[in-house]
Amino acid sequence: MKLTPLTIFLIGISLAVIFITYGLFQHWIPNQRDAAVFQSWGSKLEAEGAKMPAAKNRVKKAAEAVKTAESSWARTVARRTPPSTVDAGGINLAVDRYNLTVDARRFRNNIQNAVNRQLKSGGITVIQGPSVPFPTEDPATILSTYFNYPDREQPVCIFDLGQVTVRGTFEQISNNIRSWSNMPGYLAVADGLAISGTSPNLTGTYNLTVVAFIRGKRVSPDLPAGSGGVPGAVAGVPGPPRFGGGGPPAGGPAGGFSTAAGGRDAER
Amino acid sequence: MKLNLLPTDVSKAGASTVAWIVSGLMVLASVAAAGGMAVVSAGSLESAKQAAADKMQLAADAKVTADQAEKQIAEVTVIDRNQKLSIAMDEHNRKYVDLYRDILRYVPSYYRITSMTAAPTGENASQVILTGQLQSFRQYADLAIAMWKVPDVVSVSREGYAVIDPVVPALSETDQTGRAIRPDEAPVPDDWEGRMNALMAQAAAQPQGFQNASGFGTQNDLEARGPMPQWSTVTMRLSLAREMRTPDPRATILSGGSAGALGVPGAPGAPAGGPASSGFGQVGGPPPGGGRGGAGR
Repeated sequence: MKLTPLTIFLIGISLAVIFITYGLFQHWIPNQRDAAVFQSWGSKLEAEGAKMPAAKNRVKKAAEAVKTAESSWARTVARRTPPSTVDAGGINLAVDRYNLTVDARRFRNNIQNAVNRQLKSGGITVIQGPSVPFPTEDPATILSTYFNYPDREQPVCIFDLGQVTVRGTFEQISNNIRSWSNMPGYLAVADGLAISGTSPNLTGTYNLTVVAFIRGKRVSPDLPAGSGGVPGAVAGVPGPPRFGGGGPPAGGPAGGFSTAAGGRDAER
Repeated sequence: MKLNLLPTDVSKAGASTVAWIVSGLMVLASVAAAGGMAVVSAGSLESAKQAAADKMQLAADAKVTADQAEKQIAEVTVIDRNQKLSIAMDEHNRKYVDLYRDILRYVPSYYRITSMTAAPTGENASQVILTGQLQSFRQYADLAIAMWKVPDVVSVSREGYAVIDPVVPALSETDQTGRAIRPDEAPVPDDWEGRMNALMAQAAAQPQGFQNASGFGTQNDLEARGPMPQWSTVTMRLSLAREMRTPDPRATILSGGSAGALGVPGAPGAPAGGPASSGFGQVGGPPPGGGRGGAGR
């Protein structure tokens, strides 16, 4: 069979169209489109990269802010947080959980003593004083229930002590209320003062809340699951979470306590 | 007249040859164009990729730096929140006493207060309730006027006074004069004998001996003294534009609240001077491969 020139020409055109179509749709257009996407992404990256000076400035300002805040907070910590040892009247959360259950009760008594002392300031007569709640005896939950950790960034005790009733003159009651602003070792707020009676025997009632930010960089590790032993004596117990809790506890030494620094604590 | 004496297949063979050559050239050109498109576009893509990759490191460095700032800001936010909480708690311990002192400066001496309470009613709003005793309707009015002088007062309301001041009665058969009497007294007759008897009756009704009223005259000093005979217990309610809300340590610390906790100043924002929002992390990863599964490209 003989092909006519027109047929041959059409065959050539058809093949050319096939090749050009292949090159256009299989390579040119997709590559150009991807290139445009990469260029767009590159522009965004460039914009982000251009923020480096601002980011450095931000870091610098943040560091200054941290320094200022820590300096200010350090003064508060020195006067208005409990000491870092039980013997000094405070609490050390780095001991193992079983010892912590014992220490926490001593700590509670120390807080009660501090509240009782403070409650009498101003020369008033205490009619009804508040009672500081007792910690749980459960070593597994004592940190979370009594010290609110690791729910928050750092251990903190918050006691809503309820109503306090005192008796005295207006001056005495006023001084008593004001004195909560100077309670050593603790933060306290007296709220809802109501005064009744006939001078000089006025009765003052108010609600009292005491807050204890706990000092220290370490807390005791969690109890091993199903273990009745002391965590500190078990090899391979994960290291303790540190204040600031940035993620799962790292594997600590056999003793269970991590000595790594860098956590946030109440002293800062 | 010209005659084409060549066979017809001679001219067709020549035309076919030309057609084959032209077609071949077209195919070769199209192949070359397709190859060119593949090479050029691939080069363009590679250069775009390389450019993006070059910028990636800079962007990553910037993000690390920004994250570092964010971390520090988060840290200072917590510290600052605690610091502001402590300040707010200390300041609040003076608020009630200061409020009562401010109000007592305007309380007249004839109003003997036996109870003072205050409570916040909202943002920068509070209510104070004073309960005390006074003697006359005049004092009742003057007391309200005095309370309006208290700084920041928004409204004053009063209640509790029982009016016993003498009033002029309507005339009656026995009383043609209308002498002023207390509300619980009978009209005073006009005739001298009836008037004398009425006054004697009034005198007989007066308190005699130790009444043991409202705690007066007892040795129990701890008991609040109530109203004296013919005095009234009056309650004054003052609404003030004054911030009395209490810092809530539990809400502030445990819920991480800042501005939301009543009376507690909000946690600080980012340090000034930085970008309002760095936008880091919004760029995401590299674009997908165009949906072509182009791993081989």
